[in-house]
Amino acid sequence: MKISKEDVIHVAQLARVQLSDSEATKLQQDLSLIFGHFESLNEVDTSHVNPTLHASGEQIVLTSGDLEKSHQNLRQDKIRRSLSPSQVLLNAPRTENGFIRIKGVLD
Amino acid sequence: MTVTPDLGELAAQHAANFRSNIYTPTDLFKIVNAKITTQNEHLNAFISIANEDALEAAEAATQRIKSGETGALIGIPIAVKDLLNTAGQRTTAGSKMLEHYIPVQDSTVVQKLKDAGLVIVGKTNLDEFAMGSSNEYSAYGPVHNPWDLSRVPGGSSGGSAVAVAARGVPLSIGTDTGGSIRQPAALCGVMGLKPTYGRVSRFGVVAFASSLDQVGPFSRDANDMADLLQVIAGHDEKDSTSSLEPVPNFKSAFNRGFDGVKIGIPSELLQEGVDDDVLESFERAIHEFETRGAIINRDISIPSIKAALPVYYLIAPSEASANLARYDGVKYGFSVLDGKNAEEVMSASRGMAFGPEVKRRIMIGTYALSAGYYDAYYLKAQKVRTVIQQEFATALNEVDTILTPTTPTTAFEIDSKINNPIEMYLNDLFTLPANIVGLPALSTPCGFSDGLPIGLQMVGKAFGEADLIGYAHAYQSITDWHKSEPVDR
Repeated sequence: MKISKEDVIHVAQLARVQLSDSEATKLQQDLSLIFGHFESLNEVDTSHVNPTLHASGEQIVLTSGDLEKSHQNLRQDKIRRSLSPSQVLLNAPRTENGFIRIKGVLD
Repeated sequence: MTVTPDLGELAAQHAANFRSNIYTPTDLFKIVNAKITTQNEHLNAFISIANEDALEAAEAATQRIKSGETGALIGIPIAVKDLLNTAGQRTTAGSKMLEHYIPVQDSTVVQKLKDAGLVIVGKTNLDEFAMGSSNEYSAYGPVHNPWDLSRVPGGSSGGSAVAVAARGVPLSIGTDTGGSIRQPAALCGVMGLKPTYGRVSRFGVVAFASSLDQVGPFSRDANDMADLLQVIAGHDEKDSTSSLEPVPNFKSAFNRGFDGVKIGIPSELLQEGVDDDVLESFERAIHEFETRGAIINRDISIPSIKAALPVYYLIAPSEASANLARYDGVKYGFSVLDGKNAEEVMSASRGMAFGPEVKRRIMIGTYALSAGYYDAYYLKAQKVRTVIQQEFATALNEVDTILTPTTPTTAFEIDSKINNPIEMYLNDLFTLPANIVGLPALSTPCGFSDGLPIGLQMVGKAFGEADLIGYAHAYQSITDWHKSEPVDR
């Protein structure tokens, strides 16, 4: 499996991770090697199985046919205290008048 | 204080001593605080050591004991992996990204520990965002193995394993996504348990791979482990993946022994890459079980188990790449101050604050999930995961527990594998199947090689933690491996 440096730079842009040139070179080698090992998955016949949706197979997410049973899994619909604005902003790098300040989204 | 507390004691003995008024939780806390502060200079097991808050908690526990409260772990000092949120106390996840992050609320597990009267004495070191098998990827420096300071303690919960192994605390909390509790437990000579997926709440735990992550205990014996799991287990309405399965008494299998217990050994996994000394200790443990009435089955087969490694290294990074998207330098976490626009600030902040292994996994995950590759990689891995689950289910119809060594080798030298990700990933060969299939698994000490501990892993049936802890209890009643301690570090 050969992954090009252009692929690495493209994926880094998708992931919003700035890489130095030497990091991109190293990752090109690592990813080529690692994805090469993933090819062995094709040795397992999966033509008759569904993908795993839950780690221990427990039914937690609601399905339309399962509403009655699922009610016991859901918490009661009642009003409760949420975080205060000062708690929410406590760890924000830049705030202003109760808002989070960021750089412009458009140039 | 009539007697100075001995940090070599188990939690149960400290609890008995509190009740006999030999010393108080406050006395014990002061000794622990001094010891872990001194040890930290060479072990680096803690990222932060608690002072005033912990002293207050110890004093409150002392009052609870005086008033006659009977909780098993009131006043017991505990270390918590720095991946679990602690309100008002810095939680770094081992990353520069969260160097100054102060959570506004406790994780559910931390809340339960506090309610049960445990005293949180510090937050332990870990591989950045729990990604690693050696604790060398922490932004706060590597943790050293107390059995040999030039060696790794394992990871990612290396600090939690070392805190218990070096007799700083009797108990600690870790998290396990592919072996991050069991592998360091084995390499440091202590017990570690990854509960069934859903047994323990993940609320307030910094997320790595949400379908694999599980919080669990470290201890030195089965009795202490049962007490700690009893505190942290159970459904949590704040975590929809936590199970409604009732929580049993985790000491319920303590009198059962090995008579008639059916033990399966997946021989296909032990054919290559395992150190001779590790295999020898493993076989000796099997022999101990057999002579006491266990029925050994070496014919169980999990034909696809070797695919567990690629399955794991696709699923975990894919989920991680999505989970770590939240670190954008906007709401919390590290942020560069300058940049042309929001996107540039985001990319530069993430580029500067994430370490090499986290970047590598974000890249693996983003690539695997990107357009055109989803079916070939992530979807294929989730299908193979189903196959492995079916194979484990078949095997566990025939046997009660599946045994392997916890790791293929003993602790390796710091820096010896850091430049070879594939070799590093092979450390987790025996541990990561349990995460893929969501089953409980435990590691307990079973021998030494050149003065370094070896671990025995037991994988059980879903929600069968009480059985696993019972087997470990029986094993510990006929062997002394779990009692060995490193030269006072």
